[in-house]
Amino acid sequence: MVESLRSALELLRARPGRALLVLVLGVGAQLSALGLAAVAAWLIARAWQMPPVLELTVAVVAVRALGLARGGLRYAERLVSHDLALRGATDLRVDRYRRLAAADPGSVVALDRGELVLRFGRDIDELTALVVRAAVPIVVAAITSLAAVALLAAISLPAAAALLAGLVLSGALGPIAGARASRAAEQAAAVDRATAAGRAALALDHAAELRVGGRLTEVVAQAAGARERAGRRQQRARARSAYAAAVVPAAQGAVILTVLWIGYAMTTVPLTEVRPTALVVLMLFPLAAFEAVGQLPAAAQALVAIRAPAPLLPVSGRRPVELPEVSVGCRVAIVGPSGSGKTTLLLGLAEQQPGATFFAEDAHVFETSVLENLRVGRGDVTPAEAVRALTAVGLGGWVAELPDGLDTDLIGGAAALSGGQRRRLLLARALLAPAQILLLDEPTEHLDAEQGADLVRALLDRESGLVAAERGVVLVTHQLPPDHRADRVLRMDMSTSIHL
Amino acid sequence: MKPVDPRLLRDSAAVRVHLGYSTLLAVLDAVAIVIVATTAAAAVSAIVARTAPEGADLVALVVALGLRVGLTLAGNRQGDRAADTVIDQLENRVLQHVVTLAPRELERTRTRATVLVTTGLRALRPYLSGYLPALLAAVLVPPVVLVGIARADLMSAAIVLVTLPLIPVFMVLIGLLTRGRAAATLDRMTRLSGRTLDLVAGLPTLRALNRAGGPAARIAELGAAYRQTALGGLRIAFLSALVLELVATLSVALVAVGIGMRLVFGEVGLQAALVALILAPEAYRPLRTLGERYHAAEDGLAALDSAYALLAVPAGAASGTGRPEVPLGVLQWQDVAVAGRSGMAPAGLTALARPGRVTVLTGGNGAGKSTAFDVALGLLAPDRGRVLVDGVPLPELDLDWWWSRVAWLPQRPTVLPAAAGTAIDLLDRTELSLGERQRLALDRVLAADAPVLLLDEPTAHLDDEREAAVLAALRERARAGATVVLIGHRPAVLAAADEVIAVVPGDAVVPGVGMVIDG
Repeated sequence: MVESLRSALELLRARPGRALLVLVLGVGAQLSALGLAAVAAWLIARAWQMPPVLELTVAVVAVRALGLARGGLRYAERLVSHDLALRGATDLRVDRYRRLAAADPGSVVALDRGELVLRFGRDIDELTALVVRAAVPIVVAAITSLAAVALLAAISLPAAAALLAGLVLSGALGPIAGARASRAAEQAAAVDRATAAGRAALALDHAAELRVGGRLTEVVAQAAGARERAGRRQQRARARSAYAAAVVPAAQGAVILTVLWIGYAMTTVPLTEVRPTALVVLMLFPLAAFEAVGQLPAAAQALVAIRAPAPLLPVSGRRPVELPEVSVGCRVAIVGPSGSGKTTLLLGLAEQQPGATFFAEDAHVFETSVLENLRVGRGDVTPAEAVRALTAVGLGGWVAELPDGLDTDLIGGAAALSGGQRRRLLLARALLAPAQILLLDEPTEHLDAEQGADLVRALLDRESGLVAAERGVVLVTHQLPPDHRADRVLRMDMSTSIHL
Repeated sequence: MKPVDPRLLRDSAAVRVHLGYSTLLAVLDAVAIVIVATTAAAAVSAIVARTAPEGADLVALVVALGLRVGLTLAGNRQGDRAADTVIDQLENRVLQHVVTLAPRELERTRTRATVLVTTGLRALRPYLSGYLPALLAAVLVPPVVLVGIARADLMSAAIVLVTLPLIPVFMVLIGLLTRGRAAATLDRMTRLSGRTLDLVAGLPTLRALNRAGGPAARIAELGAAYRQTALGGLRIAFLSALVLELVATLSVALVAVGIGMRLVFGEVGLQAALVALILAPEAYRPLRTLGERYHAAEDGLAALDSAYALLAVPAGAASGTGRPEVPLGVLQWQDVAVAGRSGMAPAGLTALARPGRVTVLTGGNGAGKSTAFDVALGLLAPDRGRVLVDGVPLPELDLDWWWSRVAWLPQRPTVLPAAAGTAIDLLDRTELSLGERQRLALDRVLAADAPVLLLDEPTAHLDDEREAAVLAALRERARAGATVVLIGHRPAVLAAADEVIAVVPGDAVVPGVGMVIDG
């Protein structure tokens, strides 16, 4: 929590000029409200003494001006602080991207894409939201509260002390206790929530299978049961947050009674002259002063709710494998059961062998045109080259039928393609890439058996013309056609048996 | 957005109770506010006049302050409890409904439904526990406060009475002026952030190709565009808050100046002036609170809309009650056609699967093979033709009975064990490779003592040796009398068939044919 606040403050510090502007506007808005309350109280008290009207002119103008200023300043503050937060978010994204782009390829290539998207998307959004929701309000509230206490101190020190105590209670202790309690509530329910989510996801992912298998009702009921348990635990833990919320009116009430008492005491001390204006301001001002800390419960919630971002690197769990010798111009097939480490082997080769490039089975299809997706491998692919490569992998007819041909945008990326089309597009990308040795991971899975076998044969045949004879091909496959022309076939073993 | 969703009000008793309770709390709070202001003003004016405040006033002040503490406590607890109950009920309802949708509908709605029932509907919490009570307070508190002001000073009450309705009027005006703008902005923002995340998701791919250098600049560009779009939207979104604050603070200023001037001329007493001064901001406060909670509530309402949209999708196949007189396990597709993305798939499949035989449905990608299974299982109603189980057409068939007789292996099976909660459930599912998953699911299907077996690409992700073992086991089951239907195109699978049926796609006008290639 402190850590996230520090990160958010760092984002503020990165652009000191703008950050200062945000604080000036925020404090200005709050002080306008406080000023309005103080000047209005003074005005009433002074007017009650029936002075010449001219004496009130300044106060009258000030009250109206402050009434206008608050809204305008707050509007400006919100815009500038959002601007600052969004700039910070972009800086952070670019910085993280640069770092990963320069990091060790082996670990980056194996990163989970969903995880990456979360870290770059949600995590950074949350962190920058903290700037607007927590960092700015906390700093503004602290400055404004001090100003309020200082004003009261000019009239009565004990009253100022009481106000300070009340503001600390309702601005710091209350919100923090409340936020902690609701986090505790979340945590108390976390296991049951996860179970509920897991069961729900299972039911949704395999609804038809579970239904036919007669298990659906059971799984749905498990989700409901876990949800109910989570709710019960949460209720128990949340009770405390209600008490924390009640701290604000309690503190305010106590301060009101205290300043009334202090005000009364001031009038009963003999031989002292207390001005009625000071008395009224003293007793009315605390009513308004609590507005300065009004945003803090939400700020504390935001602070406590933020997840600690998990580190992205490194990717572990790769088993060391013995790497085969491969050379430029080779044609090697790797076969073996799933789980025997074929992909790991390719990743190892990519790192060890200069000129060898790994083409992942689940490589990313970008939400851009077909041509740009092919240019991912090499930036200067011409449309003619692209069409040649697509035809070679059996997508010639498909691209010809697309509304804008090569320039058709793949909306949703891979979602715009069938499994087979995606595989072929990725293969075309690999063919066009400048790699000396192509390391292909299951390039024909999800293709029809015959077409898949044809492609594997062509990839492994130096004379087929699919891959230039002087480039190398190492491919992993489940289905090696018997009449292939590979130089070498590596069989990977894993001694597990099928239970049938 | 509608302030109170009528569907929610109609469906949920918990919401109705919550609203009733919140109404009571809001009225009590308003009364407490007026008492605090009146008694504090009395005390202050007494002190300024150098007399002791009246005991009754002080007692009333303490009681009213205590009441406000108690109301805060009660409101919080009540809001939390109501939110939990309502959200749980909705989550359960959505899940129960969505899992019964036809496969293609489910496919379309799965992501949305998963988000909704795991986290999405949780966003209703601020709506239920924060926004709704604030809404009631915004309606109920100002009139009570206004009466309090009027009793002290009619002129101030008049100022508040005139300015207060300005706020909703301005809100409506702003709403009308900016209608459609917010949706367009949000759409553009979603697209820009989608593009950024697309680049991020492609990072491993680009790194593998050694081409990860370029996109950083593009991410910066997209970020700048996103910021400008977002700020454009916020400039408008914050307008309503601006108007609210301007009207509220300016009105308070007007009240203060007005009573100040009348005090000078002795037209109003100090105590009355103080009551008006203390109460004036309280008349606007509920509206401001409502404005602050509006945005947090929006997400929840969007989730609620999404949930009701899902609940409105008609459920998939309804079960009949019929059962065949003699259950044999004969499965017949008669001219079955289902409209797909591009034409019919299958486009008029006619096939017969009999006990004792291994029947293989084969055909290209997207020919409609898996769809043929969905239809046979009663999960999907065909657009043309029908499926008969032992002579009983599917819509008439008792589906629970039928399902108890079928073992089905879908394309991406789950590894849910034979009985939930057993040891294997603890297996981390993500650790399993596709092949291991396939094997576990196959084990389960083969272990089931069902007379009809429907297996969709049972040997996908398996090597030759395992494929052979699986096919042998399936032939064995057929020989023992089971009806075995497979989807597959590998040569080994086709070789294991007694019957191979080609499933062909087509378009809607041409009646398709299921050809028996090999009998």
